[in-house]
Amino acid sequence: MAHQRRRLLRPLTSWPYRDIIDRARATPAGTRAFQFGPYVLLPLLGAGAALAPALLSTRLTFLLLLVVAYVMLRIMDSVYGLVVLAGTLVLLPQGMDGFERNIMFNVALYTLLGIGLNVVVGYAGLLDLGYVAFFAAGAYLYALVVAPDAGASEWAQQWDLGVTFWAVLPMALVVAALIGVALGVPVLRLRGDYLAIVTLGFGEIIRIMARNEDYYTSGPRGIFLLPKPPFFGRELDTAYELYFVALALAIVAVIAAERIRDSRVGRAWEAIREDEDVASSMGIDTTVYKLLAFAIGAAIGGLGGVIIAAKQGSVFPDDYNLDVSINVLALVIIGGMGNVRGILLGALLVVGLPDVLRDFSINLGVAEFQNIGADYRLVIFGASLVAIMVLRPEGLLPSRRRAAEFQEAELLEQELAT
Amino acid sequence: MPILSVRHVSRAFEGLVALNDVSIDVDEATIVGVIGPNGAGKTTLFNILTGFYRPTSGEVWFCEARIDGLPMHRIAAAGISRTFQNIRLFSNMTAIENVMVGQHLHLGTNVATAILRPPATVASERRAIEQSAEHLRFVGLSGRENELARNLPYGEQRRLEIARALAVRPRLILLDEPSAGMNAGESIAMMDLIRELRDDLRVTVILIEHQMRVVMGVCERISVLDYGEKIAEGTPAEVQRDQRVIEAYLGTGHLQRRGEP
Repeated sequence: MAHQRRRLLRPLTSWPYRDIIDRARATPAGTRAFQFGPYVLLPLLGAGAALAPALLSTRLTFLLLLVVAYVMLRIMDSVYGLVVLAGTLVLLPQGMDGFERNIMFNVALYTLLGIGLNVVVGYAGLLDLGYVAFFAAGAYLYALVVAPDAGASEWAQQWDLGVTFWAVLPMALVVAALIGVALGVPVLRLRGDYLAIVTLGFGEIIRIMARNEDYYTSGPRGIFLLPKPPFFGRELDTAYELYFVALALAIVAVIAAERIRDSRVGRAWEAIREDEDVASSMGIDTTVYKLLAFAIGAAIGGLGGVIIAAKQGSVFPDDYNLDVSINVLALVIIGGMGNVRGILLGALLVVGLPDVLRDFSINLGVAEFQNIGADYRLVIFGASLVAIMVLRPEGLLPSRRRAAEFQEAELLEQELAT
Repeated sequence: MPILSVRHVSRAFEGLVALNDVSIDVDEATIVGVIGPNGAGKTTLFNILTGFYRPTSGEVWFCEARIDGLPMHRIAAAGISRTFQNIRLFSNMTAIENVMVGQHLHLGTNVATAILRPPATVASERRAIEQSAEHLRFVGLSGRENELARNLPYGEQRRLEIARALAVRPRLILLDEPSAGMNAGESIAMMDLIRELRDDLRVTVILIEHQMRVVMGVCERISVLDYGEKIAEGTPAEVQRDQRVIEAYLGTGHLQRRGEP
């Protein structure tokens, strides 16, 4: 009975993306044609994307980046694709103006957040709608620890740890992970929809606490005058520089997340997602592994919070609202649940596109449509999300099976057979 | 000293008594059958042995330790693993991944070593793959390693469940209707596999089975459940002659009709 009920709830967190893989496997010829095409196309696209800001002064360069990212990420297993993608991400913002660089910063930040939420939702299958809580925790931790007395809350004025951004990062990792466990414990028995509702409430509680605990957080007045990250005698104070900080952390997070996924821990999560009862009858302590997923997801969210607080130089409770949780979840789903590669793409779309559309204009000779981007950008954005979900319900870049890892075992089998 | 001792176990579901004062002893390295009509409480018994249910009363002892009421993963660690009546593989994982999940208890990778991948972790992962391939070979699924579990034919899914259960390295394995839905040839192959579990791996086997050919062919001892009570126990020959077993399976009306003319 319990088993059947879970089956009904599961489609929320397990999209049928693996059918696609089966089909791709069935037609090796199709994948082979796909493998060689990019070798011609990619250098052109990469060079185009890097030069684009100089040539095209419009933000269409961003759309070009989207295309490059999509193609690159599809072949990211090859070092070649990785190099071109990394080059594009590093070079592209150089020719951008402040507004565009801000967008790129947000994309990098949300990529980091997406990687964290993906551990919880994509790997362990726990639907978390309160992810903003950990983001807020990281931001407030930074604000409380580093704020000068002029901007700090009453409580934080009493002490001074004298630490910088770089020291707060590991602190945020630990504090957010502990908060993740604190959220995890009461919701362990909940699944699917029920879990989503409780986590939703948790996200709101953190925000409301930040607003009402005036003594600790300065309430709605916020904490401000936060210092920027020091870097070899100077400060990283532009969106452009902080973009690289966020990007670097996102890259480290990607590597860590993929390595955990491909280990005993990742298999345990996958087993729990597929069938929790069977997983525990295989000796997996489901309590521990669910809490671990919450803790790791939260820790990454906490890092993101530290970065945003440092960039903004201030924290206000209402910056950490439900929209953040929804956006992060949306980019995970659109990028491709369970796949960290899809997350960059999802972030480009969900976080980048609405801003990029701002000055997208077509003159159709109709007054209402003169400024189609600025006026209708959210309509266009919403419609494109709906279109993506209808056309590719599994996300743009669903996770691929790890066939390569097991080819080793296959070879071993052949040796045994002969 | 029996390896498993079920002592006066009862289990009720809101008034419905699924098991009533059932006691069963199982000796190490034997193959024991549990039979009975539908709804007799066989699967409930398995669920109690693996910790999915707590008994309402009574005790379960395994390897001289009391295990009733322990969480499922602790019971798995104690050395009991199982297969399921309605196959419950991790259907979106490959065959070898399913088996590797079964090895969970015997690998030491944690988050830190997963990220840093020291040589010891890489080596243990490689060993896990090799051992999983070996388990698959044992149940006759060589060459199927990278097949998604749900794409395997039904009979192979049953075997994969056994391979996954073996990866836990159990001392006792519970098979819930291992040959359900199989034809005669497949059933005989399954019986051979069950015997190999015991003969080659020295694993104690308890199986629930409806196919009498399998039960009588492979089990050394049989316990019969009916309406949650153990009504008979003994060798296959003894059980077949038992009057209460015949009644449970064919109904008392059968005997009356036979006596009437």
